[in-house]
Amino acid sequence: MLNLGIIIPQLTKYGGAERLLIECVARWQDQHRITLYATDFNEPLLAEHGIAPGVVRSKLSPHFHGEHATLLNATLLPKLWQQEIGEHDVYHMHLWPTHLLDLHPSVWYPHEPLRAMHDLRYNEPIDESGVRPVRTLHVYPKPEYDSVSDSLHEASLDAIAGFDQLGRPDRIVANSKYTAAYLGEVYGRKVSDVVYPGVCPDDFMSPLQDSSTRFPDSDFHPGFHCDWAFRENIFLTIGQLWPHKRTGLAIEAIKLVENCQLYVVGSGPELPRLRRMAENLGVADRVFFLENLTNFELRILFARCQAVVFVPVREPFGIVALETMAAGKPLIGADEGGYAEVVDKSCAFLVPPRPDLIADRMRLLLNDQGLGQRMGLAARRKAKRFTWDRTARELIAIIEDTHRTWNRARASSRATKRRGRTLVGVQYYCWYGEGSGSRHWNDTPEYGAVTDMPLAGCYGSSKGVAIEQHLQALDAAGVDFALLNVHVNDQGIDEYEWTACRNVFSVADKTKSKLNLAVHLCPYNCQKEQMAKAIALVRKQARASSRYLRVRGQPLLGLFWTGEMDGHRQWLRFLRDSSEDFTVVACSLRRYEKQTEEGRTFGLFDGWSLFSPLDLGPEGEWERIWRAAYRQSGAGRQDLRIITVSPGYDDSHLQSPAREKNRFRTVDHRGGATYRRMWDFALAAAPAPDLVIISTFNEYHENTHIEASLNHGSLFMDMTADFARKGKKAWTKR
Amino acid sequence: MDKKIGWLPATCPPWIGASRDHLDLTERTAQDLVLKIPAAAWEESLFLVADVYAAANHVHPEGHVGWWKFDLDDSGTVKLKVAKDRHGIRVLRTRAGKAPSCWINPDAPAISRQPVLALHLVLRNARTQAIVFDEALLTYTDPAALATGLEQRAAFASQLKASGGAAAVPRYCWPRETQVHLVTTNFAAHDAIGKMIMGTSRLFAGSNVPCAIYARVFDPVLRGVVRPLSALPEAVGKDDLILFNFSTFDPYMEMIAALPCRKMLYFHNITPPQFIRAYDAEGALNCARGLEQLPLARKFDVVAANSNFSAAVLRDALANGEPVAPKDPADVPANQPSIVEAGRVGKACSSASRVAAGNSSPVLVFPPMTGLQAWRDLPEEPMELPSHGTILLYVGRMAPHKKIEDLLGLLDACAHLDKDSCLLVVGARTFPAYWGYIQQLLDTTYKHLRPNFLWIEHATEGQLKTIYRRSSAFVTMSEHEGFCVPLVEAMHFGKPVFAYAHPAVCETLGDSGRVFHAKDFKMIASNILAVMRDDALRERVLTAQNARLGEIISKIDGHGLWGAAERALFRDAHTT
Repeated sequence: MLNLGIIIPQLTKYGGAERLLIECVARWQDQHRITLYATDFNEPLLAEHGIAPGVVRSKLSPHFHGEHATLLNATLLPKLWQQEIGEHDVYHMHLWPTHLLDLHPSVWYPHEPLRAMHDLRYNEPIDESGVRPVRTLHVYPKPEYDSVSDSLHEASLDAIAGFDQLGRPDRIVANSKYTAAYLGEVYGRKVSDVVYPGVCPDDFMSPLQDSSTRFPDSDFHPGFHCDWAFRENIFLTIGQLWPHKRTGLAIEAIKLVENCQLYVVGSGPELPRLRRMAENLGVADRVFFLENLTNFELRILFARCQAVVFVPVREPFGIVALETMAAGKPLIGADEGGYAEVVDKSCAFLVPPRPDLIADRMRLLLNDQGLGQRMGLAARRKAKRFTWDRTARELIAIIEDTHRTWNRARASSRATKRRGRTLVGVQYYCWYGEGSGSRHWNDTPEYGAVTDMPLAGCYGSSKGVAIEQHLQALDAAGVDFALLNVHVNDQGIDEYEWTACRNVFSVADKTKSKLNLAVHLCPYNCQKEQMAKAIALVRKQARASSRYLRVRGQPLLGLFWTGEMDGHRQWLRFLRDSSEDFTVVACSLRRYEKQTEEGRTFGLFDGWSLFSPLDLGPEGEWERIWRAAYRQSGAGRQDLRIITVSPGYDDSHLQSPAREKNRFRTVDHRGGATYRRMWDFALAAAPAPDLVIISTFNEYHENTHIEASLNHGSLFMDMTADFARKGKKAWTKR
Repeated sequence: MDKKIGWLPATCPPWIGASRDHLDLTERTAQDLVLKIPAAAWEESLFLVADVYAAANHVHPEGHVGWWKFDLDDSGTVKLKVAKDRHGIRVLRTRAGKAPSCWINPDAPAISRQPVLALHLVLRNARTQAIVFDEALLTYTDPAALATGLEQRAAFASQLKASGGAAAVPRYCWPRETQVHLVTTNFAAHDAIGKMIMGTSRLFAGSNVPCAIYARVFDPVLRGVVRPLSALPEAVGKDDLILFNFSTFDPYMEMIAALPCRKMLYFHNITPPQFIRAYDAEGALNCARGLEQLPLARKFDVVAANSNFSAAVLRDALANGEPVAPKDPADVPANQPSIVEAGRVGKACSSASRVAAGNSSPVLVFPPMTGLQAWRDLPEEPMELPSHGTILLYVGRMAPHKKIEDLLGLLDACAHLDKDSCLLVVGARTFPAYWGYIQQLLDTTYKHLRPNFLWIEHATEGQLKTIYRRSSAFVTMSEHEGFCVPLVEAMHFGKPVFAYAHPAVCETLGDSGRVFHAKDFKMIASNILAVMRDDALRERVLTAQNARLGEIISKIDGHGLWGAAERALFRDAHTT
């Protein structure tokens, strides 16, 4: 079962794109956990089509309106939505511009690119009065035009075109081969997945006229025979009334054919113009415009008509064609677009979009009822190949495959490729404000006092310049990863630290750092709700970033473990359930006790590291303690072996009474000797460790930092570079 | 002094006034026909097409003799000659001039020998070619057919004058010069509006008040007794009374409303278009446009409706002056009196039925004249009907809003409880597609009910009397009514009524009959059979229905109509 997040701009009508999604979700909902995201939902519509309440509905920010609406909806809105969308195993997006959501793994079913920018760019209606310099733009599924002043029109489209190319969905699925080629042209990537929309043949009733057109071996109702008959010369055209649907061609064609009527089903901005056109052509008494019909009414119309006329400009697919086939009626269509792939001359007339040619085919059908019957029968048989069951099956297969492929790729990502090779990492703190006296730079004597400071000065953890310097230094030292420390308290995740943390990811991407990153959560007095939200944020980050450190195929989540919560079964179970898709590593203040651990942490952890091995015992016993700890460090479910090294320790300047319980508040750095002793132990460790964690890069309160500082210069960074290099050689041999 | 108005408003749509009611080519080889096309029609350039086809087969081209196209000049008059020779029928212009363009069927000689032909006169817009007016005159080529046609017309005329069934009319003083013009858009003798018009005609004829019927669409056989609407402006005088029966869009309503005589509008209600749009978009459009015309009621001296439900629709339109949305039955006040005597209407409806804007007259409410008394002397005619079992009867058009499919659902439930139950539907298929849908249901979903379902499209009055007598109960699932005359007929024939609780139906039934608010077929079926099997229970239902029928009969004797007519004629003397 996948946790599937599905995003579509609106889910309020049973139009082409929405219909496909509704039909698919109705078929997927029992197999997968689904959350639907849209700006608006039509609950009765969803209920009518069997979408159960168990499918979660989550509302997204509404579309912008006004002069710059198109631009804002194309650029800003997807970014807002991205923040509002939760964590899912895989994302499935419909319509434009949902591909701009940077969520992964993702499958985008665009239905069509933004045609107003491409093949319809010069087809949008222009105010014909010649006095109002306003242009119109249409972005499906908005039911009305956006207006843009003439002077901004081209600039807006160009700006949108630039953004349009930034989307990077993992897979694109087209609704026809025609659309696949079109998308390939627009986005410069090959689109090889094609899933045709479907139809429910059982939803259509047998033709409601002329017993001679009865289907002799009808599959509508087997054995069906009747002796009643009447004939109606009705042609039907269905679609939203936009200029590119070319409904006017059908009206012009009707003008050329006597004794028949045209039913125009649909609504849209073209309606007044089309009504005017019917009046002017003198066919207003036989062209009828119908809006907001129920599905039942549509079925009646399909059953009544002689044929369906559908001649839009290069329609990406055109479900109307399938519906026509399912209704057992001939199609008079344009010889272009996606639906041309699913019909042939046995069931459709595909003609150049000209009224006279459409009229010719209308007359042909009116004069030869047998022809209509034969075409309808062929259409009906053909339609059975294009069911919604098939659409749903093919599309979910692609989604599932995308998820599998993504996971495989992640599992074999850089960290995993180094399986068997020891990775060196640092504890990295994101909590510093900018400048002395700001947060954690001597802001309180109890917890915030520092006795050393970085060579670069009291930097702010969120600042890109400082982050860039840190990443360069860590890359230069051969460090493989950083555990970004973020605190969680009763207010939830520390937003400042979290912002700084995300900035580290972004700057690392921007500077192409080699470093992998992972989050190390430090919970303090927080409740389950706050912790669950924090873990969800980490999960989202892990999914979004290709540099998130993965260990044993899963993203690594560090958890600071004081031991206070040992034995709290509910809390530990909650943590285990909330983090089941992570490799969870404890950074603990206590040693792992193999005999009793199950009853203390209940299998929460996949790996165990000591946050501060220097304060576990007196200096003379360090190696013995470290050896004992290392022997048992194959903790948890993943049998990870982790060694922590530290340059020294000194928190004696902190006035917090809580600190007074520590027997080893000062562990002398000894000019690097302490750090060397720890590294020597790590280099000699057998078997080779999976991870060596330096505690810390920049924890100045306890003086465990190795960052270049006023007191130590670059001593510890240099030593780190040296030992990391030696270690990777030594550990590789083992 | 000529008291006739002879005037048309500038916005009046074009029409043709023909000098003859029919053409007689039985003895002669040619007959002249003068067509007058009112000046108002010349706003846009028009041309005339005379299309001749067999009355029994209008299918093109096999039933058509041919068509002739004539340009119009500014005189407003076109003089034609319809001639017959061995080549068949021809239509010619009497004055010399440019020969008309025409098409003549090679089979014209044979088709022209048909006993009755139709001369279809069509006005088209020269720019758009759109049809702006059309009507047909019958052309007889066979003496026997002509005699039959004339007999039919005479029989119909006699029905209008029959005094035996005329209601007891109060002794009002009627102005000697004042004629009554009964106007409707579509006239059919056997539908509710037709019956109302015929009853009204008899009522006035019984009091020696001159009365004529006008319609836009009617059986051309009746032409002469029923007059085309085009004859109205020429015929109506300033002291006359027009009684306009309003039930659908009428392109000439604005013209009628503008005529400077006394005018009364009787609203039969209009079917909300969404009920029928999928089956007949043209009909739905007419309904929608009819509802949009409701505010024109302001221009009538008296406005009346067939029920409080209909009156509420009318009042809303008058209050808003906007196109009228179909009325939600739930909006109708439940405590409205079902039948309001016209003489008391000022008090009974004073708070609710005042015309809101521009006219302080109330909307009067009185039931349509149903012609119940005519049943009494009518002989029953034999009908083949099921000899046993419960016969559920529905009388009415086979129209979407009548929900025949729900009657089938009910029949299905009844047949589960009593396999001999059957449903008898008597009514015309006014919507072929809907009829087709019902037939399809009977061929598929309800295939097993075919033996239990009987549909009679056309029944004579005598046959209908037999049907009413022989049926067990009357059922209706209709979701829109104005009054529902068949309910009253069912009560008259002593049949228990089971009806879906549409407000107009509830209003007509009063506290009698059995109404249900949900279409739970099983429950309704149980209820019907329980009533049918329990004599005491059925007797209680019928007693209540009889009491209700008595109330209705007291209101349909013409009092309401006379009161309304009096109010229209002497509006200024009334100070309610």
